[in-house]
Parts: sequence; structure tokens; C-alpha cells
Amino acid sequence: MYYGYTGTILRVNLTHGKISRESLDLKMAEEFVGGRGLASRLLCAEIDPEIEAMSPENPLIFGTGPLTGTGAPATARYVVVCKAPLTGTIACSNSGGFFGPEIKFAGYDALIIEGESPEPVYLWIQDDRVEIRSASLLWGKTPVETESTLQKLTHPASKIACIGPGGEKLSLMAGIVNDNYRLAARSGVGALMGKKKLKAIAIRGTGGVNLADPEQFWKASMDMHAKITGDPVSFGSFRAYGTASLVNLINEMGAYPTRNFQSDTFEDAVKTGGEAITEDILERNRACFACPISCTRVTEVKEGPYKGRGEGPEYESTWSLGALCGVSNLEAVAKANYLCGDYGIDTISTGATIACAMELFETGALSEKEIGFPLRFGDEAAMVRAVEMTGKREGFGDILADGSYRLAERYGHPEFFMGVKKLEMSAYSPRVFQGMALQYATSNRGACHVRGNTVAAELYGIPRYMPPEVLEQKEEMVRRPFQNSTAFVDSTGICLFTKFAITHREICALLAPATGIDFNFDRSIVQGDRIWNLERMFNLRAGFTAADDKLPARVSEPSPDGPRAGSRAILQNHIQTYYQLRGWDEEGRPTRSKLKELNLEDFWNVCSEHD
Amino acid sequence: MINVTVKLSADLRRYRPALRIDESLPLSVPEETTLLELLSEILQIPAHAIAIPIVNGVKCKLNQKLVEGDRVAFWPPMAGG
Amino acid sequence: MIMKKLKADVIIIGGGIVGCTTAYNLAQRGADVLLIEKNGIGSGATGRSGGGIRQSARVSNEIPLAMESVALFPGLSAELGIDIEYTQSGNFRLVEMPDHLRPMQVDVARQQSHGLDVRWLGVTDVLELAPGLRWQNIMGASYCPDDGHCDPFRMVSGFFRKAKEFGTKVLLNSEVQSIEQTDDGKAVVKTSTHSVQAEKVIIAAGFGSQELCQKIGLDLPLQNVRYESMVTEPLPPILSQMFGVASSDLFFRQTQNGGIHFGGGLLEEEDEEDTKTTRDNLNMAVAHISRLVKDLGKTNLLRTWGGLDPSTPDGMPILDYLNENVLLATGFCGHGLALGPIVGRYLAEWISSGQLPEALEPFKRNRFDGWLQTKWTPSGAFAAVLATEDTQTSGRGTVGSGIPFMTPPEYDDSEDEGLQKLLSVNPEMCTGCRMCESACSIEHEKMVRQTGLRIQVAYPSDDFFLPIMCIHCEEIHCMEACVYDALEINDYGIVSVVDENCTACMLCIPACPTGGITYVDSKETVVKCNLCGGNPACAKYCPTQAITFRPIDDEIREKMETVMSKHLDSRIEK
Repeated sequence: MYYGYTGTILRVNLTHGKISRESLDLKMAEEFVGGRGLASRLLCAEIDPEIEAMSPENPLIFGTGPLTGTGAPATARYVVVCKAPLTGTIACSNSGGFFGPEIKFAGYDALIIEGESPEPVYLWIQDDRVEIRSASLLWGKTPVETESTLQKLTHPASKIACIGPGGEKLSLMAGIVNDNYRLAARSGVGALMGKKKLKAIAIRGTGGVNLADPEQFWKASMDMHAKITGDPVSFGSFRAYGTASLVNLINEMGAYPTRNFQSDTFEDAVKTGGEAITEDILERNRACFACPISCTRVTEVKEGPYKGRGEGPEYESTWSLGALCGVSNLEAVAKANYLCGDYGIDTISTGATIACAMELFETGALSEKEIGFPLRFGDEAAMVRAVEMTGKREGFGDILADGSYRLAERYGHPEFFMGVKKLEMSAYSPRVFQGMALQYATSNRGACHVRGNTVAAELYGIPRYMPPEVLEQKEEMVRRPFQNSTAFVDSTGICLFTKFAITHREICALLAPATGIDFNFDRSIVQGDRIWNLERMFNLRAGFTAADDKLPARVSEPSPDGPRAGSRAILQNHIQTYYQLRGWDEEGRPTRSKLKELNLEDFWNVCSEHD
Repeated sequence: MINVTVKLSADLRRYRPALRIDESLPLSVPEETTLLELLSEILQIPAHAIAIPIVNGVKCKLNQKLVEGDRVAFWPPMAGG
Repeated sequence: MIMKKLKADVIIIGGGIVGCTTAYNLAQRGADVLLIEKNGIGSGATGRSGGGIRQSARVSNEIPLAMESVALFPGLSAELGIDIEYTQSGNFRLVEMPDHLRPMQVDVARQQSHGLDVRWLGVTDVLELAPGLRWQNIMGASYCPDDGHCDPFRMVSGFFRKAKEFGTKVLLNSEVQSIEQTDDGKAVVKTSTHSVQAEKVIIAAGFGSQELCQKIGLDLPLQNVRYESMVTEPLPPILSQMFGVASSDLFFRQTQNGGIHFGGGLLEEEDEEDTKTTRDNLNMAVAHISRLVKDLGKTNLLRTWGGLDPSTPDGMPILDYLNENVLLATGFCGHGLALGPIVGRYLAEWISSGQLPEALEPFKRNRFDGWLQTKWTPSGAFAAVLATEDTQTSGRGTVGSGIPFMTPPEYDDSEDEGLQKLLSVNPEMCTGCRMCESACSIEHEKMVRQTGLRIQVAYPSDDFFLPIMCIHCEEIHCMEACVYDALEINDYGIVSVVDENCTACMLCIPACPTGGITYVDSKETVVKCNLCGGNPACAKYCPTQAITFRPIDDEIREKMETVMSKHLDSRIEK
């Protein structure tokens, strides 16, 4: 009898149309927890990281955590893990909504989708009945259309994860959409799903998640409920203003990257800030499964050229489609955000790619003829048009759809690519937030902010305040309370947004009675470290080296204006300190003793010869 | 007296509903007024409502004294993604 | 004695500035108004007013209203057809003592933060604007350029005449003896000679208001404070602005005919309607003003007069209904003259439309709930107690105002003792999180699942969700449909399933209009909500109070039934 976990992993081979089931290795689960950790561990057993990301061997692994679907606060999360089409690193995209819990209710901890279907198909999973069905009716539909059609074809209560036209067209910007508007985004995971010609997964579960000690679990849930609903960030500002309330704050600090990172303040930030969104386009908020925070914003632009409805825009989307492109029209930004949802493409990378194209155009490296229209910073209509082209892979959009790294290289200005390991940076300037500088440089999926959002410490003071410009002791801060801790949390199935109100202790207080396994604080630290190191090894095998742990040259130049004029990204240059703290050698490879400490095998022999 | 400007953001704006989103309040305050005094005596906003006080783009402590020309901005506890 | 019977739309008790402006505004809108005044028009606080028309030196919540009112003054003389001698020359609040310097500067900043143009001036700047002052005793002042002063008698008689012009009837020298309610919900006000029936009654009776409130059985935090005024013989023009001081209630100004009109409030408890002035107060005021204004040494005092004005604990008036018919408008703490025109306008709007104007929100009487038990001192004029928490109140509002679903409504369960509680659903607060389903499931099944739930969330659209469950109706449709005695009812009217008797015939399921009964495959019986024995898990776990456990009335129950039955098909699981 399994508790917390279901004990079953479903494997679907799309090449041969075969369905099979495997037992969950509980020892592996204990070491890697679930979610991000477990799915990454499963991936390492499936492939050699040297393979082509778009090859049939690269599986899509949908992974849930032991807490997913248990009903404790904010336990909606699932992940999608594979080798990333956009970057070639390991990919782990995280999403909420209701799809993850349904996987557990159907009786699975993870779904491994391997191979490629010759024709477009969708998976229909009802508890233990699994069918591969033709998706010819669905191909070309937006996620919203796909979901409503599929619910008629399968069951009105089934939950859907699918790709939009972007994924179908193998755009490296594509993510996987669930519950109409939520995206497992970044890294181009949607392109892999499109390559497999898997349009959607529809899933319905009538079962439940067994709990080892329901009384204790419920008690810990109520305790966590009280902590979250009493917290001014988790329950206060997220609910009232969403993440976009950061726009004005980060801009006030002079840390809001503008016009492809040419500067760090945007003169019109307030027009697209959280307050403007709340006042002008917000309809209401809504929640993921079992979540009291309810940070999702349902918004609508009621009339005009940018009429549309959907969820968001969130902070990053508001930024990438707004300030990064020099655009200040909220309705255009919202519309671009809705379009990204319709096509199923990642807002951050899409916006960043368009911004890169704008800079190429303004410097004359890209002509109007090639694009089809002028593409200048600040031109909201052009930005929206570019988003649509990218989603459809139409005209110049075919090039945009492959991301800004390839775009900048192609037009002879690789220095205009604002990212690391081919993944674009996000809305916190590394010139100002030194912790983020190191985080962008070292994050395992490329320049990602979520995996180690040090702004929590560098601005809000959680767990403790470390001013953004301070370098001392910051490497350790990046490593442990951020990178390692996030790796742990991402593996449990609970949402990261609870972390402002609670710590590992509260999460372990749920994990133990849920699973009957001794999850505790000390083990959680090790588990997080282990998961991070595993991801690093994958990347090393995939060919990444210390040379790739670098930021674009532009952010080492002084910030030109604003209250932080003169700041430069510095901490990433202290990378040897970081490697040492990580127990890695000077090439950024885990040492033997580090592996021993973490009980990690040296997959693929990528580790240091040093002890 | 010294001249400073104050911005209230997010849900702090309910303390001055007439203020537009990006509008700053120009105030003349006694010299050496601290941020805490600005909050509790002049603005009459409880200090616990503020998590992020920013002066001239830099987060600072509430016991910091204001000087001529300071641009003050207050945020409630908040975070993002 | 035969009472004369009269009828009106609105009776206004009190012929001071508030009574007259309100009568004017109502009559202008076509209402049938009767004004009842105990003595003469403006014989109360209005006539004891210093004449100051100011936005400054007010508590924060009064500032917006005062700014609106002052904007009306430049056009008032024309509107009323009488020169009210309004001059918008500014208002000074003089600081004489070092201890008051910083508090006054802080208070200037406080008022600035509400958008008022008020400044701190050093003594040199003060002297430049007001050369008639004695600089030796002045350290600086707050200065509001758009404030001013006028003649209170001319102002109130102007409004009175206009009110009559629009048809207001008046009973002067008439004291109200009772205010009663009729069986059909109207009010009846009686004096010694008249009995008047009306829809609405406004008590704008200044120092007489407390007694009138007590006549309808209500005690409000109103305390009468004595104000005394004096005026000198005409002098050549030496002062153009309105003046107050930080250290006391002293005010002074120069009237149009040249007399210096000055005086102030005595913060002493007084209950008599004493219109005399006291020798002590007179001497104090004369001594004080002589320290501040040049060349007053040989001036003759022409006249002195005194009276009472009610104050409240927070320095702001009470503008609120006392019951369905009676509206109270008093407690202006010695600075109501300037607010008169706007208050009259808003009160008339409130009575005509039935909707509380947003501008009057801060003046409701429920802000004093609990105050009557505490000892409080009247917050009268703007004395040396500046900018303290006791006398000032900060802005009210809700987080994300304009987004009603963000703030759970406050529920006070103090009166619930002994009443039966049921689950009350407020769909507006529901975010679709389904924590209620999880709570119910764990409580009853020890695990979370989505099928066979006693409570289910429905999603009729992408922005409207609600939980659906048994509403414990009085009709008990389910029991009626059951032929196997598988449903039993307890003493509290709560129905639960008798598992042994249930044959899973499922006749009860369609019988329930709100989907309150569902079938569980694994149990092979139906299940329904039994309120968890009195501590429902769903209400405990719901983060937004979309589900609460409280006594509900038929209206709520009917609403729930209507909404839930409408959206049965949008449930996640059926």
C-alpha cells in the first residue's frame, strides 16, 4: 500500500502504441522526493543527455509530487521534464491548475511519454483505462478550444494538458497548457510534445490519494492554512494585486530591464503595473486546486483593437511584452499575453525574442523587408503582430519561433542575446540584484529566475535581508536557501508561493503523515542539494561546461540611468567561490566526495577526478 | 522644513484614495524627520503595513532620517514570480 | 390645547447653518420642508462661530469634505443674493511656543499628504503676509492660502431666506417635545402647539441634539462645549486673514466693518444653555489676542456673547440615520460653519436618492460603537493636541477596493448563541479552489478524492464558481423520496444517511434540488452533508469565507437554493 504516492508510473510509447505500468521505486522516491526530483531522476535513467532533444528517444515526463492532490493548501503542482528543445539542458517546467491532482486521482505518480506518433493523437486516461486516440479533430485548435472539445469527447470532468498551434509547429517558444490558461513554460517543452504529435492528454481520476496518518495530515494542513492565510504576502498582496504589483517596485529600484536590457528603468512602467491591471482589466481572481492564495487573475480587455480575455498578465509577462520591448500600452500587453496563451507559447522567451529583434531592427541588422513591417521598441501594434507571427511560425515568425539566441546569432549580433545557455533572462536586472546575477549564470535550465529567486532576500528580506548590491556571503545564499530549497519544494507538489509564509518544516510536517516516510528538515536540505547536482550532471553530460555559466557582456556594463546608475553584474564573476561551496571543482563538476555525500551515482562519468 | 515626495503603492493607496497611481505627494516636513515619523505622524499609516520602504531607489530602514529632495516610496509586503 | 396638524416631506429641527442649508437644498429639489427652531435662526453655535471658512487644521477624514465645501464659497453671495462678506485671504495657525513647533510642522505635512495646499511659514514670511501681528510672540505658522472667513449671521440668513423662497415653512420659537413613529412608518414631531407628520426628520439642533436623541432612546457621544465670542469697535484694516493658534482655541479676524471678532472655546463640561460669557474667559482671550495683534491696547469691546456647540470624541460630526426616519446631523466641534453648504447638499442628496453619498461615509455613527463606555474628552478646536492617534483617524477602505470579492465580509458571531447554525454560501467569495471538497473528503473518507463528495464545486463560467451541497431545507425532499427509511432526521432538523438501509436505488438524488445527495461507488450507498456533527470541515477550511457556518434566514436559504439548482450541471463531478 502506498501513501502520498500512488506507487504506479504509467508509460506510453507513441511509436508502438504500447501502454505499460511500472512500480514506483520507493527508495528512489525517498532520495528524490517526487515532482522535479523524481522526474529528473527518471529522465536520467531513460536517456543519454547527448541525444538530440527533438529525437523520439527524448521522453516527456509528467511528474507529480507526493503532496499533489492531497488537499493540503496549495498542493496543485506538477512538472514536465525532458531534455529541453530550446536549450539542450535539462528541462523542468512547473504548472498548477487542476491537471496535476487528476494524475494522482487516476492512480499515477508520473506519466512517461516516449517515442513519436505517426499521426496527431491524444491520450485519454481514465483511472486504469488508457487509450491513444486520433487528434485529427483537434489539430490546429487553441488550448481553450481543445479543452472544451475534449471534455465533450471524453468526460465533462476530465482535465486537459495540451499544446497550442505553437507546439504543433515545433516552436521552441512552446509550452504545455493545462486548465485552459496555465502553462508549463520555458525551455520549449511544448515543441517536444508537438514533435511527438501528441496534441493533448485528457485525464480523469475517480480515485484518491491515500494518507498514512490522515488525522495528523489534516492537523498539519489546518496549521499551514492558518499560516498562509495569516501571511501578508501569500495571502495579502498576491491575492489583491497578483505578481504584477512588482512592476512599479522593481522599476522604482532601478532594476527593471528595459529595451532588451539596454537600461534598467522604464519611464512608463506604471501604465502596465499591477495597480493599472487591477483598475483597468481585472475581472476577478481564482485559485488552483486546494489553494487559499488564489493569485490567478482573470482579466479582460473589453473593446478596441486589443480586445481579448484570459488569465494574467503576470509580472514576467507584463515585463517581457512591455518594458523589455519598450511598450507601455497595457491593453496591447494583455492582448499579447492572451495570444501567447492561444498559441501555447512562453511569454518570457517570446517577449525577449521580439525585444532582441527590435534591437536588431533598430541597429539596421534586420530590415523591414525581412520582418514584413518595422519593428521598433515601443511599437505596441508591431509587438502584438510579432507575437502572432511567432505563434503561427508565419513569415519572419518562423525565425522568431526559435528564440533570441538563434536570432541574434543568425543576424550577426550574438551580443544582443540576453540570456544564458540559450534561455532568456527575466525581469530582475542582474546589474542590481547580485544574487540574481549568480542565479541566472548557474541555474540548471538556463537564465531562470524561479529556480532561485533571490529577490526574496535581496528585497523582501525573506529569509533575511541581504541588500542587492552586497556580494559577501551571497553565493551561499544563492546555493542553499534558494537553489537547493526550491529544488526540494518543486519536488513535493506544493506551490512555491507558499514559501513566504512557511518553511521546509511545515512542508515536511505534511510529507511525513502523508507518505508515512520520515521526511524532515535535515533530509530536505540534502534532497534539494541532490536534485540540483543531478541536474548539473545531466547538463555536463549534455556538453555544458563552466564556460556556459556566464552572463551576457551587456550586464557587466554599468546601468546607464535611474537610481542605480553605474551598477554592474559582478557576482557571477565570483563563480569559483560558488563552485567550492557546492563541492564542485574549478570546472564546475561535482567532486567524488560530493557525490558520495549525496549518494549520487556518477551517471555518465562526468564528475571531477578530484575528491 | 525640507521638501520630499512620497509614493504609496499597491494596497497602501487606500490610505489616500484620491491619489492617482503614479502620483507622488509633495510634502514639506521638519528636518530630521524619520521614515517612521513620516509614516505614523504625517501619513498615519500603521508601520506594520509597510514592508518595503524605498528612498531614492534604495531599500532602507524606518529609522532613516529624511533629507531635502528625498523620493520616498512605500510598499506593503509583496513578492512576485 | 388643540394641536395644529401639519404634514411635510422632511422636518428639520434646528435653524442653524446646517438646518438652513439642508432646508434650502431639499426645498430646491422640490421637497416639502418644515423647519422648526427653538429660538431664532442662527441663535445657536452658528451665531457663536468665529466665521472661519477653512479646509486646514482639520482631522484627515474631514479634509476632502472641507475642500469640497470651500470650493462653493466664492459663488455663495451671488447664489444667496446677499453679501456674506466672504474673503478668501488665507488662514494662519500661529505657533507661539517651542513645544508646538515640530508638532505643527508635522501636522502641516499630514494635511499636505491629503492634497491640501497648506504650508509652514517662518515668522518672517508670516509677518510679510500679516504685518498687523506682533512678531515677538510668534515662532511661525501653518498657512493655507485658500482658506478665509465670512460673516456667519449673513450666511445663515442668506440660506434661510433662500429656503423660504423655495417654499420651506418655518416654526420659530418652537421647542420640539417628542419625536415618535406611526404604525405606517412615518415620523411625528410634536411641539407645544403643533403635531407634524413627515417621512424624514433631520436633527440639526446643535447643543439641543443630545436631548432629542435621548427622546428616541439613543445615547450618542455628544458633549456640549462652551464657545465665547467678542467683537471690538471698528478699527482701520490691520488683519485680512483668519487666525487661530496652536496653543488654544483662540480665533480672531477683522470683519468687513473693521471690528476685531475674536474668541474661542472652553474645554469644560457645560450643560446649561448659558449665553453669557464668563469673566475669566473674557480676560484670557483679551490677554491672548493682545500678545498677538499690534495696537489693540486702547480698543473698546462692543459686545460679547456665548453659547454651546456639541463635540464628539474624534472631532468630526455625526451624519447618520438614527432609525428609519430620523437623521442626525450635528457634532461639528466648533468648526461646522465652513462645512454647512456641502453638508446641506449631501444630506439632501441622501434623502432624495436613498443612497448614502460616498463623501459622507466617514461620518457614520457606528465608528463610535463602544465609545460610550469609555471616558473621553471632547475633541473641540484644533488645540495643542496635534496629530495624535486619539484625535485623528486614518483613511478607511478595503484592500483592492473596487474588487468586492477580495475582502471577506466581516461576520460577528457574538449573537449566535442558541441559534441553529447552518452552512451559508456566498458565491461571490468563491475562488474555485475546492478546498471545501478536500476538507469534506478528508473528514469523512480520510483521503482526498473527487467522486462521491458531499460538497462539489461548480464552474458555470471562467469567472464564477460556487460550492453546491445540501442546504438542509425545510421541505426535506430527500426523505420524502426515500422508501427504505435510509434517511433519518435528528432533533435539529439535520438529515443523515442510515447506511444499513440504503439500497442505492438513488431515488433521492434527483429529488434534491441542490445536488445535496450523491452516490459513492465504493460504499454502495448515498452520502450527504451532516454538518460534521456541528463543526463543518468545509467552513473551517474555506480561505475566503465563501462558506460560513452561521444562522441563516429564509431569504438566504432561498437564494442558495435558486443559485445552486441553476448550476448543478456545471459541477466538476456529478
